[in-house]
Amino acid sequence: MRVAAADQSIEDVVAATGGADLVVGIPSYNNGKTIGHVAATAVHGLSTFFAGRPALVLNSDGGSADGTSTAMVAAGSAACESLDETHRRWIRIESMRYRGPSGKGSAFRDIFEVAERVNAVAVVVLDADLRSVSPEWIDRLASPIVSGRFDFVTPLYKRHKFDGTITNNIIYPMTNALFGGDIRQPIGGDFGVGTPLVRAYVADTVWETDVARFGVDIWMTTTALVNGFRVAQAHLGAKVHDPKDPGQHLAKMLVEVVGTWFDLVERYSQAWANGDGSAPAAPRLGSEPASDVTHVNVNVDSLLDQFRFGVETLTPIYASVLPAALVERFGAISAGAGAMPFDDSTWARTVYAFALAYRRRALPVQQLLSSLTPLYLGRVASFVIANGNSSEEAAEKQVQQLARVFRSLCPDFATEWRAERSPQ
Amino acid sequence: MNTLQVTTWLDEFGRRVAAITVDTLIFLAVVFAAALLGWLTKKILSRVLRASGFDSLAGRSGATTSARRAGLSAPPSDYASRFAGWVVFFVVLIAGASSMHIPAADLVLQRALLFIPAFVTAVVLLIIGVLFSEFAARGVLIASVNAGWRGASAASALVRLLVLTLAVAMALDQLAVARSIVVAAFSIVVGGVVLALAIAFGLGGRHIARDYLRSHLAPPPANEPGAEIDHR
Repeated sequence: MRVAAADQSIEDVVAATGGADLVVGIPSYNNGKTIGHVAATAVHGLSTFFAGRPALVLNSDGGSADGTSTAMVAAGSAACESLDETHRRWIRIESMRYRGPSGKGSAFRDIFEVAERVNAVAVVVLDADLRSVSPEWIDRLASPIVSGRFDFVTPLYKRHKFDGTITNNIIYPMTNALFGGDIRQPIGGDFGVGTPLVRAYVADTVWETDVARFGVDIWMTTTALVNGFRVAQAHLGAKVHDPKDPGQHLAKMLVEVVGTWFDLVERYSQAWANGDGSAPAAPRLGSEPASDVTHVNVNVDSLLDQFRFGVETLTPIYASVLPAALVERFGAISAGAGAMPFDDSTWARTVYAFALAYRRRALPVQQLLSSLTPLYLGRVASFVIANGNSSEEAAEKQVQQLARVFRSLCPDFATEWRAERSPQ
Repeated sequence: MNTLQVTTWLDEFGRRVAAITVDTLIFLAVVFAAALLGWLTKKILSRVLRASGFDSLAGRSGATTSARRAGLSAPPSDYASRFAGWVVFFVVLIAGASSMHIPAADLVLQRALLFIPAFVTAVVLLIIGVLFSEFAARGVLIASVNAGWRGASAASALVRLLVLTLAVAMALDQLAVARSIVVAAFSIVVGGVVLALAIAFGLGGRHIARDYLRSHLAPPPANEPGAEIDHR
């Protein structure tokens, strides 16, 4: 075991490490309270499931002011100390300061670069604010890659039926419709990556774009699917992490996530617009660990109120960028005060219409994506109303039904996309 | 009046009539040439603008929406080409008239040439003002709606009015049209709006002001619609 100082460069880490079969990367920024647990769990996972294989637990930090790097190094080294001598000497703990724009993507880039240079077979990346991470996560994310069967492992979390609404209503169904793969958590945050894909990531030219700041998760998944890498999904149980950033407004989050996603739809349009680029469904590996999810109480009235107000006020803007029939439908749903649902078909058409408007830059991007917020809240309200008394399984069936609707409308979307002229 | 005087008078009359006829014909030719050049400019520019996607660019910038709001329903390329056509018509007409050494035309040409830079600047200022007012008003509207602020439409209209007022005032100042009145009117309008806002936020709407500042300077309250959900 070797414990390094914080704020090292990539060169320092590579020189000190030499070689490692496995790298567990932990991107961070001001996660001093939680990163220690993640680092210690990573050490236990490596010693339990990959004993005897050289491994590196690597923190890639964005200049935290709360002693994140120090906490990570301290917790990691303490976990190593608790191991017997034969295990501990194979595991290294390192922390470095990442380069480039501030964001998770930049942190990932440096982790991948270190992994490539130390000839790692598999890289596992874990969020630094995880509270529910267990040693088994390392096994489930890394083993399919170490065994040579897969290149990319995405997480399958157990989530409350009302959580992950952007994933459930936009990213999952649309990713599946356009690129295939049936990846249930495309923006999960915790992944396993094999060497060939790590090389592809490092060689890409996206690292000065929004991908470096906030869009790295969906970019990694989409890149893996489009380029034919073998993808699997690993059951990890419930994902419990620090409460979400209270300063993060929903509209801003939607703009970031959906904007990055639409960029990728545009970037990889050759792969889906002709209808021949669909990847096979990624297998779901292992069994779902027993875990409880935190119940989510949703204030439906508040969602509906915001939806109605948004439709009432923004209709002229919607009318200037979306099909008239769709805008009329918003009005009818809004007037129904919750009695008429924001049904799957209307929602899928809405998302596709926004993607088309994004492609032709019908409005400044920020304004266009922000204007989706009230409609999204209306859709979430409908989902909550429809599934208030449903079981988790029944709610999941609803999500699968939405995915089917997205797929059925995809050919029309592709036709319109091809007919649409890009503003460039 | 003897025969010689009558003949001389008739000769002079004939010469003058001939001269006026020639000048008139030349002037008509100039008018025709100006109209032809203006028409050609309009046609060619219209095609070039349409082919280059000028209308969709104007649509994206919000200029089309502003024009429709003002009752102008034709495509922006139509108005731009028409404007250019009329400019060419008048420039050729004045230049042609000037070449005929008509004193009034010389004076008009001189004044027009001096006026052109200020006029072009004013037009550019107005176009930028219209585009920016649309952009700013739409941004305020969407952001206010997402913040759940019920005064979204009023705030948006106010922003549009302020930006347009500023643009019109700057354009009129460029044209030196009633400068003192424009400055005074602008000061009164902007000052009035600022005063009204200060009173509204400071007294009548202090709760709204507090909520607004809180929502922008502090984390959103827990009761933001959907705050209980982990959306990602």
